[in-house]
Order: sequence, then C-alpha cells, then structure tokens
Amino acid sequence: ILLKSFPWFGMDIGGTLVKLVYFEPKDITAEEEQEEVENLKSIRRYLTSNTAYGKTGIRDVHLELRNLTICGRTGNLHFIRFPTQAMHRFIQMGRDKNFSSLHTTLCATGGGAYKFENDFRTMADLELLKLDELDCLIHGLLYVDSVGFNGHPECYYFENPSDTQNCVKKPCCLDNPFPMLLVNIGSGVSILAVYSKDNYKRVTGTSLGGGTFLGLCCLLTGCETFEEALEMASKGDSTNVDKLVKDIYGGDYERFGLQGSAVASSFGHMMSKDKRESISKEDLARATLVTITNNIGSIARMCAVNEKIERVVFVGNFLRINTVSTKLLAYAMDFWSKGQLRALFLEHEGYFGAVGAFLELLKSSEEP
Amino acid sequence: MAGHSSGTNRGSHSMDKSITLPPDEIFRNLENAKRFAIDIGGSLTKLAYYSTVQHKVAKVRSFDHSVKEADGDPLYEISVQEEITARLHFIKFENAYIETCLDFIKDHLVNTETKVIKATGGGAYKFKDLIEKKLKLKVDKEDEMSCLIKGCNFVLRNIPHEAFVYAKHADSEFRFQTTHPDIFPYLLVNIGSGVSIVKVESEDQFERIGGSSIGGGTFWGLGALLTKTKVKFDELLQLASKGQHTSVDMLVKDIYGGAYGSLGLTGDLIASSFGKSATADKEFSKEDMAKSLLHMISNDIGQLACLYARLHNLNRVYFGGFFIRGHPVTMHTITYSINFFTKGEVQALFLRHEGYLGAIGAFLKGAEEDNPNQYSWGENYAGSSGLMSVSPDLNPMQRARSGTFDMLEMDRLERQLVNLPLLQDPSSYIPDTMDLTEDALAREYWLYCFEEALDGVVKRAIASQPDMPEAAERAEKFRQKYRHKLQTLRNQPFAYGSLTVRSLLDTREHCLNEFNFPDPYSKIKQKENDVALRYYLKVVKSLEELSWEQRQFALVRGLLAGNVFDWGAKRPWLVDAYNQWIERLKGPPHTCALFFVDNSGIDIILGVFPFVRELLGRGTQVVLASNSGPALNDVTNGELQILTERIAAMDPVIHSAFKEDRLTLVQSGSSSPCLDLSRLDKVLATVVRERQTDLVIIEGMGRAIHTNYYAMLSCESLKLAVIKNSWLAERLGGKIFSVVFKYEVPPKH
Repeated sequence: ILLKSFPWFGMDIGGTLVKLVYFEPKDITAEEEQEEVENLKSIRRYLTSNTAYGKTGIRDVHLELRNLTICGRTGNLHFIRFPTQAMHRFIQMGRDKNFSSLHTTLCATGGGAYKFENDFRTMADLELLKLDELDCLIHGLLYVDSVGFNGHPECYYFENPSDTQNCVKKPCCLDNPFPMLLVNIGSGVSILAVYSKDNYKRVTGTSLGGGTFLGLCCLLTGCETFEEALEMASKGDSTNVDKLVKDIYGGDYERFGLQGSAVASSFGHMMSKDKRESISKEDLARATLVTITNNIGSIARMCAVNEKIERVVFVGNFLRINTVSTKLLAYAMDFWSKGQLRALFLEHEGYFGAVGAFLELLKSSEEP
Repeated sequence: MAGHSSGTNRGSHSMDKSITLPPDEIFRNLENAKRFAIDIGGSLTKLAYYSTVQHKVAKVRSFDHSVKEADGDPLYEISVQEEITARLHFIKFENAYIETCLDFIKDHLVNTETKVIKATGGGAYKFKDLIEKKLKLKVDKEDEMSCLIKGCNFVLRNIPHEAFVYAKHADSEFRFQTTHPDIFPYLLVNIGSGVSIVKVESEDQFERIGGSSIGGGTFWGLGALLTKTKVKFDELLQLASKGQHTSVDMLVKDIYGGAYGSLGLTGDLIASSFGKSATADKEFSKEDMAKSLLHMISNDIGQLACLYARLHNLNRVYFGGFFIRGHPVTMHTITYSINFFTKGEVQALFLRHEGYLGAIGAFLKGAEEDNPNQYSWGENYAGSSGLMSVSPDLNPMQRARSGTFDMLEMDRLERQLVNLPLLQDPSSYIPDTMDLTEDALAREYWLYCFEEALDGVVKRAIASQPDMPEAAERAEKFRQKYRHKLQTLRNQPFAYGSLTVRSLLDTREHCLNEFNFPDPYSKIKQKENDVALRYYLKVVKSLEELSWEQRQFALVRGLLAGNVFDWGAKRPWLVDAYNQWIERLKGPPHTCALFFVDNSGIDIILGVFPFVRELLGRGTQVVLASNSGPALNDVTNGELQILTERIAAMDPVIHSAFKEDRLTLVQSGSSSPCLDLSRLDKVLATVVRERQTDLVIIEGMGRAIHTNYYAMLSCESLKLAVIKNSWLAERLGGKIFSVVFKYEVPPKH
C-alpha cells in the first residue's frame, strides 16, 4: 500500500466551531523517527503535549480513541476544537509552521472548507481537499461506531426517559443502524434519512439550532460562551418564562388531551411587563434551551413518522455537556410517539464530520 | 355601581367620544336581537347576535281575469309589503370599549326571552362578571377550538370569496380562491400565543393533530425581552418590518461563502437564527432582532404545518389566530415559509373573516335549535365593513380604523343554494369574467361607471315610490352609502373578496334594500310587460309565416334584441357560432333546456317566449329560471308566473306545455343581475337533474358576459348577449352593440 505521508488530519469547519481530528502514530520506528522532518515532529509534540491551544482551542482528552489501527498504522485519534472566528489565526499558524512543506493533503469539510479555501491558498500556500459535509458525517459516524469507544460502545440511550427519577444513560450497540434518522444539531440543524452508508437524503433542516440557543442566550443574559449559557440553564426554571397549558386552562386541556404541564407558549409569560421584571437570567437561559430543544424534538419526530423510521440518532456539538437537552429529546421522542420512537446519542457527538474527512484522506491514499 | 341611573348618558357620551360611528349604526336591529354570543380575545371583542329585519318587498299579484278587463288596465298589481328576514350581526371592537358597549346593548335590548350569552376566548373568564351584571344574561362558556372550527366551516360554506392567498409584491395582494364545493378535509393552523394544528374532516369531526409552543406569544414575549421595550404586539411587528435580519442571523453564505449547491440551499437561506448574535462585543438594533425573531417563528410554524399537511395528505391549509389576523407582515412570512418547505405544493390560505370565527362558532352553538346550518347565508355588503389592509406602515384607513368598529352582517337566504349539477368542474368554476381586483384599468373604469350612474339610480328610486314623501330623503341616504362603498372599494378593492362588476351591482342592490327601495323598476317593468303582451300574438304569427331557416334567425335575433332594434342584423357577429347552432337544430331535439332569463317586457315576452315555443315544438322540455328577488329590470319569478299564465291564456302551445309541465318555472335563488352557477336554488338543481337537462341557455350582459362568459358546462350551452357598453365591447375586440352568440359543446369523453 502506498501510505499517505503524515501528518493525518481531518477538519470540519462549521458555522461556529472548527472540529479537528489528528492521528498520532504510536508505532513509529527509530528509522522513521530519524527521517521525520523537524516541523512534523514539532506539530505532533505541540498537539499531543497540550490540551489547550491559544485562548480558545481545546483538546477533548476524554474522547481520545486509543490504539486505533488504521491503514496498517496504530496510534491515537485526538479530538480538537476551536471557534471558527479563530480560523485566520489557525491559518497563520499553518504558515508559521511551514505546513505546506509537508506535502500532505488537508482534507476539510463543512461550509468553511469553501469559505476559507482561498485564505488557505493565499495565506499559507495550502490546498484544501473539499469534502461534502453530509457524506463525511455519515462515514465518520459509522466508522467511530464500528471501532467503539476504547472498548465501550459509542452509542447510548436513556432508559425510562419519561420518568425523571429513574431515567438512566445506557450504552447500546448500533449493529444494524439502517434506516436511521440522523439529526445533526450544530449552529443550525440538518435532518437526514440514512438507508445505507452511501444512500441517504436530507429530509429537512431548521435554523433553530445550537447557534440560536447561544445567540439568544447572549442577548438575553449577556453570557459569552456555550459553557456559561448551559451552566445558567442548568440552574434556571423555564416555567417562570413559558406559559403552560395549566396557566391558560387551569389544568389539563382535556378536549385535546394536553397535560397541564405542557408548554402552551414558549416565552408566553414574557408578554407581561411584571413577569419580565421578576425573572432571572438563569430562568431565561433555561427557557431558551428548552424551547430550542423541544422544537428540534418535534420536527425530528414528525420527520421520523413521515419517513417511517423508528431510530432517531442525535449528534452535533449542541449536545456537548448538555444532558438537559439529551434527556429532553429522549423524553420527547418517547412520550409523543407513545414509545414508538427511540432517541439514540453518540459519545463523539460533534466530531463525525471531521472523522469522515480524515477517512477520506486515507481513502485517497489507497488510490495512487 | 353608584349613581347607576346616569349610566346610560355617561355610556353614550363616552362612546360618542371614542367611536366614529353612532352606536345605533353599529349595533343594528338590537330591538329584535336574540341569541347573543361573545368572543373576548387578548385585545379585541367580537359580539354576535341574531336578529330579524323588517323591510319592504315588492309583490306582484294577478288581477282576477274572469272579469273582462278594459283596455288600459294594468296587467297585475304591485304592492309593497313588509317582510321579516333573519340576519346575523357580528361586531368587532377593542376590549377597551366593552363596558360602554354592554351599556348600550342593555339599554336597547327589548327581547326578554334571551337568558344566556355564549362566550368563548381567553377573556371570557375575565369579563364574565361584568357581562352578567350588565346584561343580566347568564354567561355560558364554550370551548374555544370547537367554536373556531364551527365558525370556519360556516364562513367557508357561505361566503364564496372567503379564503385568499397573500402575495406581497403582486398587483393585488389578496388573491381570492373559489371555495371547493366540498370544504373538507382541511388543516387549520391557529397561531395564538401558541400554535394548534387541527385537522377538520367534517362538520363535527376534528382533531388536534399537533401544535407548537413557539407562536405569537413567543414573538411577543421574546420580542419584548430582546427589544427591552414595553411594546404592543402590533408595534413589535412594525419594528420587525423595518429591520434587517441578515445582521443577526447566520446565513448559508456566512458559513459557505456562497450557496451550498449540492443540496440546493441558496446563500441567503438562514442557517442559524440568531447565529451571529452569539457575541458580547456587538450591539444589535431592535428592528433587526425583531425581524430575525419574526422570520424564525414564521419559518418554524410553516415547517411544522407542512410536515403535518404531508403526514395527513392535506393540501388546504388555513392560517388564523392573532399572529396572522390581517397583518401583511406575518401573512407574507408564513406564505414564504410554506412555499419554501413545500416547493409550492401547498398554498398558505388566509380568511377574510378570520377574526370572527370564534364568535360565529359560539353563536352557532347557541343557535342550534334554529338550525342555522340548514340555510344558506349571504354576506350583506351594505352592512359589512369588509376587509381592511392593516399594513404595518399604518395607512390612513388603518389609522382611522383604530377606535372604530368592524361589522359583518349575514342575511339568511330563503332558499338553500347549491351548485348547478351541469358545471364541468365545480371546484374551478369562477362566475366572473373579469377580476377588477387584479385589473386596475378595468377597476378604474367600472368604479367610474357606477359612480356616474348613481344619480340615475337615485332618481329612479324616488320615482318608484311616488306616494311616499320621505322617499327622497331615503334615496339620499342610499346615495351616500353607496358612494361611500365605492370609495372604500377604490382604496381596498379586496374588501369583499374579488371586486367584480357583479359585486358592484350586488352591493348596489343591498344598499337599495337597506333603505327600503326593494324594487325601483317595478312600475317600469309592469308597463313594459303590459305593452309587450299586446304584441305577442302578432309576433308569433309573423314568425310562423317565415321559412324554417328564416324563423330560426328571427328567433335568435328576438332573443338578442326583442326584435325591436336592428342589432344583430349583420353577421358575422363578434362571437358567431350561429351556423353550428343551426346545424345542431337540424339534428335530434334536446331533452330539456334550462333557460336563465333576463329582462322584463319585450325581452321575456317577445324574445324568450317565441324561442321557448319553438323548442317546445321540437319536443324539448323547457325550464325557465328567473330571479327570486328583484334586480334592475330583470323579470322576477313572481312576475314570470303571471306573464306565463297570461301568455298561456292566449297561446294554446304555451298553455298545453305549461299545463303538462313540459314548461316549468323555477327560481334561481338569486337577486342579482348577474349569475353565480355555484349558488343556485336547490329546487332548480333537482329539476335540472330529474329532467336530464342537456342544453343551458344564458342570455344578457349580466349573466352571459359579466359572468359565465368562460363557464364550462358538461352539456351544450348557448350564451347570447348584445354588448351595450362600448368599453367592454372594445375589451372583447368589438364595438358597442356587438353581438355575442356562443354555442358550446363539451368535449366527448
């Protein structure tokens, strides 16, 4: 086999975040090490010895896939993310480290692969291999699921989703994943019906996604980061902000089988000036999170029914450290379908596009 | 309340200050009112009641002909009688006026039978005590959604141009739809503070199949938070209409640098609502945030509506609720969203009387014993305000409107109206030839025409009631009312659905009736009938002397011009299918001909009857359909009854046919000089079906040119008229007094 020369990267440039996967070979022979050019070595050392890069880059150490054998090489797959706003600094770094001398192909997907293509070329003398983001997403997801998460399953679900007391996360296998409805929640949302590795269609999408949650939270609470927003949301109470069925009907709306606790109008209480003055930022953050999540759940459920698919897989960085949303989605799928639909989640939620791009690099290496 | 005795005066006083119309012109016919219903929403109250209207009708009565009559005696007697008809009143006003309105109603409510008022809407609870105290009526609460749907069914069934498509940039923003004869099934998306999506399958069968918590309340609540102002819903919409969402939303091109071609997503598509506002170091304008929010919510609702429509295989989707309620901004964004998500397969439909649905439904629930759904109802153009454009830019009409009252009046029609069974495709049938809403030049012309003709109509109205001294005063009121209607229609051609020559004529008839001029032409018709009858036998005799070919031509000319004028002598006519018609006549006779007749006098007596006589002679049965009520000089069913008897007395051919029921008279169910074949008397439809009618004849400008010119029938049809208007003749490519003789045979299957 003609092996693609190191370094092996895969990149997914989204609307908000850049996701990067880096393969660190652990089977480097002494001979190889000697031949390894200096800047390649320094890139490897820089990425693997740090967990944070600059002000905003972060390596998700807990997601690292260890002792992975791929294309005859063994090593660890690292998962790194930074805000898309820092893209130009990243390109500059590529120039400073003289990346172009390495003669590697930079495989990139996501909208930014198109948007920044010219900047890579002019600023760092780098050519991108642009890849379709949905192809990459599906390939990456299937690959990570097949190799597993360091001996554990990649996939999980919630048992007893409708019972908050006994709702627990359970690992599961995605042995026979097709057909599946794949809901990718990034800045916006794409919903795909996937019938096989290469047979899928984009059913629909919505602009109410992770970007909407964060954008609204910043405007409503003055927070600055996703972590901050989620932290506030975890402490808030959305029923101070939302108008529930019981707020209107005094209880259940029996004529239509609506529970009193169901949200009738998101932010409905905020029509009143007094109520606006009495709520906390945490309540607002929570209400924003619940509104966006429920809406995604509702659209996903309708698509699943329309496409006659029972397995709904939620991915994307909106779900990162976001158990409020994952549990809510699990509940929504279960409750509104009367147990017909099951929500599934994956540990590497937002990285599949980058993994798919990385796989494409290796694929291209097989074809001399 | 202390000092209640002065309440009346105080109430009226404060109303005079705040209401532009005197209250007795708003709450009309209260004396006979019964069966009240009220729908109190977040900002508007809608009141409904049933009342009876006493008005004058012209009746004709035959004299006793056994007594030998002297020459010069009138043919029949015209008497003006009082008739009582049922009318539904619906009034919409701002919640701020509730108390003064209730006071006014209390003072004028005479009917003591009424004990209960049906109530619906979120505010029904809040005002329950006030209503019970003021009106001494028990408030009986009805479920909001079932009222809404009952009301929706009612307007869809009874108001032909109820539903419309909204097109912001088109010449006419409102494109009215012909209501499908079967209104079910449909989807109703009600956007109040939340969203309810209801599938309606029949009168009593409906199901809430879904909904969303992201609705009008979200727009309002979140909008108030984001803009940090104490705003009203309308103000927020106004802010939104001035904003640019692209500074707040993350578009596809912000991520891709351009379009996402392989998925067909354009660069301007919103990828992430509020995606650009996730930053601390930028300020966003209120307008931009409001606009982004409006897009976010409208798109979301549109998407869900499409998903549900697809799942349930429905393509008629009506949108209502306070989020929509005539706001061009939200109608536009919802329409845009539906077009985007269904690629044009589903159209977003809106309703002209959307705001009244709850009140109508609540009223109907209380009136079940009167069986309102058994009758057909018609919108009274004289008493109804019509649709206003509530542009966010607050045009002068809109500004004048806030603080005023909006009204809808529906008359109970004496007969149940149905489709002519001979329409080729009832769902695509459009009666009117020209849509003046879309054709600005034609609109200009006809509005001018009707304005010019107004003096003549007023004079005629006064002349028709020589014994009544106050007729002049009433006629003047009529003039003001109709002129005001024309003014309204100039500014808002869409006020009563598509503006057509028919609707202009009908509005005039409604206004004349309003001021008790039930039949201004009665005397003229009487005189002309009388004169024409004297020539009947002479005409019949001269026709019999002609050869067959000559006679057929003379008969057709007689229909066109009653043989009096030289019209139609020279062929070819503007539309000339005469040769085909003659060829057809050489073939087997028709089984039964349905003839929609036009004018009194020469037309009916010397034109139609000889023609009918010829048909009867061929062995064809004839059904003569005439108006139920008067319109211009058109012959009414009552008059035709007498005329037929008189002709039968002279002419044995007509006599035997009439006696043997080979010649039958039916009412059309209409009181219009035009003809809507989708709203005809049920009896007519039955007769047409029973007799296996295979020929329809429509004569005159109103019925064959202004309406039905393009109507497609499933049997042979003749449409004939002389165009007595040079503008219209030119439009159709001819000159004044051009003849249209259209003979159409439907394609064979």
